[in-house]
Amino acid sequence: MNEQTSNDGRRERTAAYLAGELSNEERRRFEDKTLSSDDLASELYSEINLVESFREIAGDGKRSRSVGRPTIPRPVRSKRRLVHIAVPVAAAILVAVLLPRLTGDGERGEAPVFRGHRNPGQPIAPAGIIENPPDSFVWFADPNAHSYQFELFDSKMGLLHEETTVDTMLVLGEGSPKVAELRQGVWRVSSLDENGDLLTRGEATPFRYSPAEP
Amino acid sequence: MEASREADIWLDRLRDRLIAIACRRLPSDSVEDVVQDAMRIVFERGLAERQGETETVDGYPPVAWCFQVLRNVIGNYYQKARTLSRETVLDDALATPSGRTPLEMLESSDLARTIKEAVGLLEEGDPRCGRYLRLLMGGSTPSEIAGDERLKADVLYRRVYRCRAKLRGLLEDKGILV
Repeated sequence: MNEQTSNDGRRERTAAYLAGELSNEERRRFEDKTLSSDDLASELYSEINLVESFREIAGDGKRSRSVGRPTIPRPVRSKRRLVHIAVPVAAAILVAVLLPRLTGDGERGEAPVFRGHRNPGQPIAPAGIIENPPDSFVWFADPNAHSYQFELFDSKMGLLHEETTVDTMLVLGEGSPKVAELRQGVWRVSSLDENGDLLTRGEATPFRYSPAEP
Repeated sequence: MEASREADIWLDRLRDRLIAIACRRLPSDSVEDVVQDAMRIVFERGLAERQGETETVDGYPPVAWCFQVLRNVIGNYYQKARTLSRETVLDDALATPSGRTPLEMLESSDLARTIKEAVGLLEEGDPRCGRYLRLLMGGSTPSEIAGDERLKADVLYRRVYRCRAKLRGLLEDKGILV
């Protein structure tokens, strides 16, 4: 009986928390307890999962996912040479030009690695706070990669766009999400082998478009 | 310095919870990659430094927002597994430690069908719950339903929460981890 009462109370609090009905102090306490208990965290996650599933079924706020995988364009030899020479040069120039602009006021430093050391992806730009909406995404070459899978997410890692390319730069084309409207997002590049299978999953790199005041 | 230490502690605690949640939903060798991706997004938002001050992020309470990020990253993982893997590899990749099938791995049509079936079952024993959940699936908002039912929004929200808890139980009985 006591356990039932306790469960009911926990559910009431979870419902009130998600409905935004708790005071700031109550919310802090709830979150503190949730971060101290796998059971409470699991309960909250399950509730969020089901709420979002209902929204997706209703077609409201559905998770945006690109469907189908684009075919990998067959590279032409001369084009590949161009990729190996011109793109790293362009990337170096972009680094020199863009990086100073990405370290705006109040920006946090590089995100720490929350687990063991890794070195995938290596995105170059855009990253951090940017003043102009990026129309291209640039990353370092992976010598083992036959092609790259580019993914663009919204700020909650909902997939917006997915494309496969042999280059180390991707320009968003017609039908792609408008980054200026997106305002902030996350992108990632993963290396693929000759069969299109995953070699290395890249780091998710957030960016935020913040136009400079005139 | 003290604030920075508190932020680090908060991130560590969050990571532990995300790991625990992800462990039940992903193959063990993918858990750290997925949680790392989620943690980077959380870190970039600067929630750890402003944990007490931030009331909502994109309309959600902060920790709920973090869990949503994890949910999306897990969803992306399964989408990717379906896209990148061939049939035999896929079977291995999608097997969870418990042997259950996570909701995230269901095709959207299967997910809709499974939930609708479970709502049908729930409706037999609890017609009011069935009605609420069907209205939600039909696109009604909780506040609209509260208006129709002449209830305060917070009362309805709690009732719906209990209904969803019952639904979760039914789905888990079917071997589906939500």
